[in-house]
Amino acid sequence: ADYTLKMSIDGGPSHHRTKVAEQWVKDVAAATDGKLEIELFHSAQLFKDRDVPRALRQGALDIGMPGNWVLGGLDPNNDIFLLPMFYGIPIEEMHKISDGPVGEVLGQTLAEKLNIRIIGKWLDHGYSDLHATYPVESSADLAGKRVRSFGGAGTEARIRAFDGDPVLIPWADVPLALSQGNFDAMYSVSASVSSAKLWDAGITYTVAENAFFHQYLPMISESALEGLPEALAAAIFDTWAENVEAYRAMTAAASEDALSVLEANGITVVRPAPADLAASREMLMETQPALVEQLNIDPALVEQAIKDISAVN
Amino acid sequence: MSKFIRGLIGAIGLFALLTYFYQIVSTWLFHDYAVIWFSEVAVYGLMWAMLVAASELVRVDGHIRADFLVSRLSAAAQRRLEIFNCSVGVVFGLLMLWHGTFLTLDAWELNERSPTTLAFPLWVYYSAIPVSGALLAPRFAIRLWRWSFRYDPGAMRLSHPAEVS
Amino acid sequence: MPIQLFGAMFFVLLAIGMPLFLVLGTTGVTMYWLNDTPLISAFQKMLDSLESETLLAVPFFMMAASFMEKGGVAKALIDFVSLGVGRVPGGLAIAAVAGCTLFSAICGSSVATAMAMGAILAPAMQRRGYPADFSLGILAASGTLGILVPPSLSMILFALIADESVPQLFLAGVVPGALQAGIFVVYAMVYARRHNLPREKPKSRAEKWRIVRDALPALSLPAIIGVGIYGGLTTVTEASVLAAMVALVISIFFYKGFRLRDAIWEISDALRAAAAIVIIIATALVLAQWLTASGIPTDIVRAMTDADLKPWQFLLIVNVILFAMGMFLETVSIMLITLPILVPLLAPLGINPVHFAVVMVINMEMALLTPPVGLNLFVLSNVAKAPLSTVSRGVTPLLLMMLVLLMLVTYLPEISLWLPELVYGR
Ligand code: NA
Ligand code: NA
Repeated sequence: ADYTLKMSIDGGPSHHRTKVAEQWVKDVAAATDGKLEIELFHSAQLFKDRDVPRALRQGALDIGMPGNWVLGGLDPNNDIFLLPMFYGIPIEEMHKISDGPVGEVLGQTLAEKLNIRIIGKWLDHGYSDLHATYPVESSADLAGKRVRSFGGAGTEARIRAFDGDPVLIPWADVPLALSQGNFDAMYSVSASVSSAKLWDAGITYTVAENAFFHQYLPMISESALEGLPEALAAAIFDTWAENVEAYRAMTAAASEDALSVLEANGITVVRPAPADLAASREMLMETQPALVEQLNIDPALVEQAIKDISAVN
Repeated sequence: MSKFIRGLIGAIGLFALLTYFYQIVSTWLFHDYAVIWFSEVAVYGLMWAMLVAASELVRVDGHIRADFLVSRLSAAAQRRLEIFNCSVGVVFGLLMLWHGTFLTLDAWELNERSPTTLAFPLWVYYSAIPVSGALLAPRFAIRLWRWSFRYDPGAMRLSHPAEVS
Repeated sequence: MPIQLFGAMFFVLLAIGMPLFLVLGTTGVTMYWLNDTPLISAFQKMLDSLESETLLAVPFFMMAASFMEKGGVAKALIDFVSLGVGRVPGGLAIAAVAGCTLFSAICGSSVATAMAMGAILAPAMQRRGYPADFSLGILAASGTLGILVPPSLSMILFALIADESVPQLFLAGVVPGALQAGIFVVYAMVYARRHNLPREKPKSRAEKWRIVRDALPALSLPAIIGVGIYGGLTTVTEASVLAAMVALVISIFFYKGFRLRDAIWEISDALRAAAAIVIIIATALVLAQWLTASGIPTDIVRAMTDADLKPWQFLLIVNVILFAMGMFLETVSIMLITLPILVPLLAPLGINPVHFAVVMVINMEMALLTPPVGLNLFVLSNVAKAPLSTVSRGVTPLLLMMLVLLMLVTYLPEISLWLPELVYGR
């Protein structure tokens, strides 16, 4: 290859983001006749997602694809996805947010702060569902239980809204803490629960209630782009744009597979009716105004998001 | 100065121990008054303190080194090597100070926070690098000066065991 | 070219007795510079790798160890353990192995285990006139059990990269861990007989009673940690906090080993000692990142895949590579460099990842003991104020025994897999 760029992501070789990244790397190589090679480092070999934005800014890395839940420290508006208005919202509606004006504003702010460019539409990671070591029908069953939070005031507020007690436990400590009984329930993406085989650690129930929606933001540093001939730089954006729907389909399939894997391993998977989700959302919405202020999110952006989701009036 | 730094490190350590302990006990016993971000503060505080303690380790000659070869060399050879080592130490400390200052200012200007409830201002934690460098460089310089101009072949040997308690 | 330069620079700086963190830091920074990577990111990497809650167990356990030693907690515990095994020649050495194994069952880090046990037992064995190399060697080697006997930070890292189940990996470490402890006990007994190591003096009934009474508060410590972790109340880091807190309180108020106003200085010294280890980990990870980015590890694996190896050949080569890397790198770096490229090769070769995890972890234990860069060697040299070469000499026979254990575990997967399969089925 004439040009090589380094890309870093979290997640092991079998994770759906790794699969997509590998596919994209191949697509880029094919589109450029092998002139541009993207060296993919997964498993946080080079950087944890948390540290990827800074590495891009400092010029230690060319391409990253961090999850939007690690970006709140750079721009609090990224935590908008922790707000109750997105609880139980179907994926097509969520895409109106990330692919629409709200996503545009978020991406623009990051681009300016980090001196990067967003490569294209965000890649879906999937929904955080509810997983528990005891029988649950919905988040209402969290009352009085210790619930693991993946961090962020929005997550804690959600747990408290259902009368649970949030405990902050990093993902690395989850299997051990779970098998020791340090907590009883957690919000996590089902694919992650499945790949960590958390049924071994005590999970017996999963409620596919789409509590939070997570996405990855593909980004490339401006300095990396400057070093490329125009055609190759264009190929980076074009391959992504041409294939992103296929990539999204890959992660959606992985999420659906995850639920059947959980079921195959003895976990009871509950799929709540849309009406139940809407009722829960309505209850949660009472906490939203205070949360917007607490999370320091731009109210205008919240207005825009509400306008964009037809499901919420 | 050294006493002040030792005291500061100890105070940070005691604070981290007590607050983290409070976090554990409060989540068990009195939920309403529980604080779940003391552990995050403990990470930033203790790591900061330990990076700063690296300069104290130079003072007490407590940094770990492979002594297999050097301990067999003559006193004169050890002296020459240690003078070289200390010079590298001075340069490394200055590099930490220089790049660490940019790193810290950058985080300050971007108003970078930790992606948690606490939203801890990261420049505070990052300042460990320039502060550590600013203390390391003079410590290595003092050691360099002692080994160059106040050399005592009887007492100053690299084979001496580390003095860390 | 860079790899040769890297090798030459690293070894020369190491050999001339430069402090290890400077060796790693200087080599790392030079490689960044030659690679046109901005130097600022090398120092950023140090900060990033230290921003870890699990790493906090090191300073907290160090605090606990220092309170226990200064406060008389350690002495009370050792007197108590000696009541049980003291009448056997070399009883304290057996107590050391047993103590490390027990501590490993509550602590996921080998460095922290060696620190805590070393701080207590190294002075005690010195006082009883045990040869320094033997006593420090057995402490350093038994301390490595921290990552083999569950809970284990290395197993957790493996599980994260390989998408494996942590409880299964933990169970897989139990039998090999017990084997290692058993081998060490036998070695201690044989050595003691050969070298005529002292038995503990016989105690009168009143003395025994006093020892038990004095030990009770000290014994609350392992009890609290054990109940905390296995009772589902705490994580490993939280347990280290509890250990430090309880040790502080009983040292001051029960054993009156030091005064409250001294606590700040005790803590300061403990953090300084922990810093000697932590700064090495931070700089080692900077260097490891360069090594990963250089693509050298990927090339090695590609060569291995092209050679079309049989599983047993693959395992043998991996063991040799891991042993060589273990001499010069720190364990987290080795696992981060090798695992992401090795794990995808396991399934095609029909190697069970749970089995491979144990092979990996035993290699990591050995990495902690092989000079020139062996963290457990450093820890014992530090706590006992003894030259590295003494510790290293004492470790050598134990290292050979671990090599035998490694071969057994490598070629008899049942040793690792029996217990997890018993519990979770195939
Ligand atoms: Na352990
Ligand atoms: Na080693």
